[in-house]
Amino acid sequence: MTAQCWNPPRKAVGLIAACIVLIETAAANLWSDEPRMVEQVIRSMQPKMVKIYGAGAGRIEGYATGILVSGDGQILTTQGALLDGTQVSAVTSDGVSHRASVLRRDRQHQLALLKIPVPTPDFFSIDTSASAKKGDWVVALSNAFKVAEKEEPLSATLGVIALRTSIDARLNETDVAYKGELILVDQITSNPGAAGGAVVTLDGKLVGVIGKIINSTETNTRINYAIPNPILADFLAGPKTVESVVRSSTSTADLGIRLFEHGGRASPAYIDRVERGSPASVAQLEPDDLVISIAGAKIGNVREYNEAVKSLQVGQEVIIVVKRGSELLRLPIVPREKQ
Amino acid sequence: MGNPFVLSEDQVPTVSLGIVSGVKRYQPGAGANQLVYGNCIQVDSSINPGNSGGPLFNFGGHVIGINGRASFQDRGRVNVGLGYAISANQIKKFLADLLATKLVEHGTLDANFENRDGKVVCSNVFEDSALYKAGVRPGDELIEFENDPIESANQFANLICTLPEDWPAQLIVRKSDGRALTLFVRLYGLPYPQPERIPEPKNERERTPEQQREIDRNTAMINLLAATPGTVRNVEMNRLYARHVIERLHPDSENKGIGEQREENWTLELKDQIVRGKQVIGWQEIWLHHDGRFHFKSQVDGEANQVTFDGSSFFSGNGENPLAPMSLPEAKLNNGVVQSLGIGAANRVGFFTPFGDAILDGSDKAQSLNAFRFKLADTEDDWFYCWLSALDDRGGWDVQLLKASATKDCDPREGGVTFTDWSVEQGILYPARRNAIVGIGERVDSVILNERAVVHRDFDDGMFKISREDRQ
Repeated sequence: MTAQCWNPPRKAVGLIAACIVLIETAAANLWSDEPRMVEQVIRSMQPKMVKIYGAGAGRIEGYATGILVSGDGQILTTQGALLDGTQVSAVTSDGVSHRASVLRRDRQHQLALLKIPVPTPDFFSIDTSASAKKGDWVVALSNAFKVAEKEEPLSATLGVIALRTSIDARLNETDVAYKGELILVDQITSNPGAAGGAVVTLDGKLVGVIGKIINSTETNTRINYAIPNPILADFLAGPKTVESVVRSSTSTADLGIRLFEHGGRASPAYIDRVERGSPASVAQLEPDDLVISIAGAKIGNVREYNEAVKSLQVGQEVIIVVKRGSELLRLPIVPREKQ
Repeated sequence: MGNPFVLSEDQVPTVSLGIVSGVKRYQPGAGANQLVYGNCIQVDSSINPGNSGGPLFNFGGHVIGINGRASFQDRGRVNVGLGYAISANQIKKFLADLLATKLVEHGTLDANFENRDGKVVCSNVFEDSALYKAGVRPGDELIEFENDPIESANQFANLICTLPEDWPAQLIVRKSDGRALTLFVRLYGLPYPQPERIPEPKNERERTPEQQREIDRNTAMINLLAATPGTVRNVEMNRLYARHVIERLHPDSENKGIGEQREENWTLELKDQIVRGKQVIGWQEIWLHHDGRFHFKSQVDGEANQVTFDGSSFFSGNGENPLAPMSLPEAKLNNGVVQSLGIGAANRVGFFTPFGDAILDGSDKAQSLNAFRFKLADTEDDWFYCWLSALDDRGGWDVQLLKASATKDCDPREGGVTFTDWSVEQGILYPARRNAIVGIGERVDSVILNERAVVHRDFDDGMFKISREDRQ
């Protein structure tokens, strides 16, 4: 962190005056009620949030943010190395530090559930029917850069929801730890210590929590996103029943396609052979077609193809998209029982 | 608003918009000079290299701070949504020092405070510091600093680093025996590290004008920081700013317009009561002529005094013996002279002219307000000080005379006068209340309350003339 000096140009005073007029006009049109709403939402969220401190190592920060999700002191935050230390503490908005125990972690969505031994009247209820959509204003609250200490309020940024989408972990797992649905925002949330912070609408409804930093190793750019409520609710509901886990791993669906697998599981999903009389043959798929998506799921490589097929229901028609030459073909296909 | 990445080639600044992310933030020292930002404003509008020095506006169009720095990480010096601005409240406290063309250091008490059992306690204090001399010892509890109740050592650190060197800080300290002390001490300066000068290149002849400009630009900051802190670096510029402020003293300042209705040839007559505690201890009279001459008369505890200023010299007496000439150092210590010249200054009849030319001396406090302190020196290098308020809450001009004294701290022997309750009589201003005060904390010794204010037209000016027979 450094400070830099800039010598204002001589004409600055007059120009500044001109610009004040601009801002005031903008204020009248764009911002009639929002500032008060923003201020109010920032204020009212603080008691529902905690600053989390744990083990830091090298360039991994030993601090994060969390949201209270129950009256008995359960805290939702992101999974990370800082939870591995001997002691994790959570500082509530009154500045008091509490020792926190780690109840549960989830690697797929990079979430963790902590608990502090103090009851609280202030906590977020996770509304899975919340309908914040693209273009809605959101406030993000977090302890980015550890700017706030003890009872000092968390930092707030204002932005809009840019997109609701999903991320397919196409990159190496070490680059993108997160996989699944997410909400992109246009303010900067991807900062050290911000993970676990709250993203809320101007009427104070939780939209999601700020996820861990996703940094492209190629361009050094980051995405600013929140993990949406439904995923948070799923995680809070506890681990899936044994039955559902078994069903997904022993799925019996099959399309009768063999892929080129010479490049390993990460190679593109080109069709090598189509079994005669199979669903693929009925759907008129041909060797050398490149599978783009199945049932709406994007297919980037052989591994993703295998996973997508496993999740299909036997006898239920889906759309498969393939690229043949320069043409994209959308073909209906009905999976059969594995033989 | 600023010039990030030098995008503006036509001098039109780049505007970015955001919300205040946090207030009263503390940012520890960073950069070559370990600049600490205390009590600053955190914003999420983009702050990039080149934004430093630019104004931060609220939606009312008021400058609420100056953008200075941002949180940066290993990804380089680009905005990550956390910018910091020095608050306008801090700037107001540094402004007079900066306009005085001084290199201003930040203030320190030369003492450390730490959290202990829920209290903020002095952990050590230098024995030659003002705080020690004022009676503070390790173990004493800090209760209040500059009217803010102190709850943590961090909060105190956050507050003190927004004050300039020499600032008269007010503290309330509780001693171990439970006594609470209210103290006023001037802050010491925290020295900036001295920058290393860039050695002059040898082949001076081969430099193009552009190269020379580049070199000058690069060394400007170094030269600035190499200056002796607290000294006026450019007297000419200082006097320019000093005149600029003094010219706005009422009544002719735009927002008052009081002076317009006054007569050409006026004389103000004031009769005041002098009160100490609840006791009336005497009375005084001032006749101030429109050309700056005055006659002052008082009777306190049965002792009569009078001073006459004939436009060039001061004469004192007790009404019985002949008048004796008064030296300038004597005049500066005379309460009646200070009052009379102060009222003259407020009415733009010179500006303590007999005491010399005014220069802007720096930032200070008077009557608990941010003040511009001026000092005047006659040929004997004997100083006289006066304090003007300069800016109102919104940053507009509101220049009023607050205080005057022969010493910067209104030392017990010299004392000083504060001017309050400015009132108007036929376009002439007078302070309906004046306090004779002592010390930085302006402890009131006696109060001068106006009973009668009359403006005479075409007054016989014989009273201001001193004939040979009157003299000793």
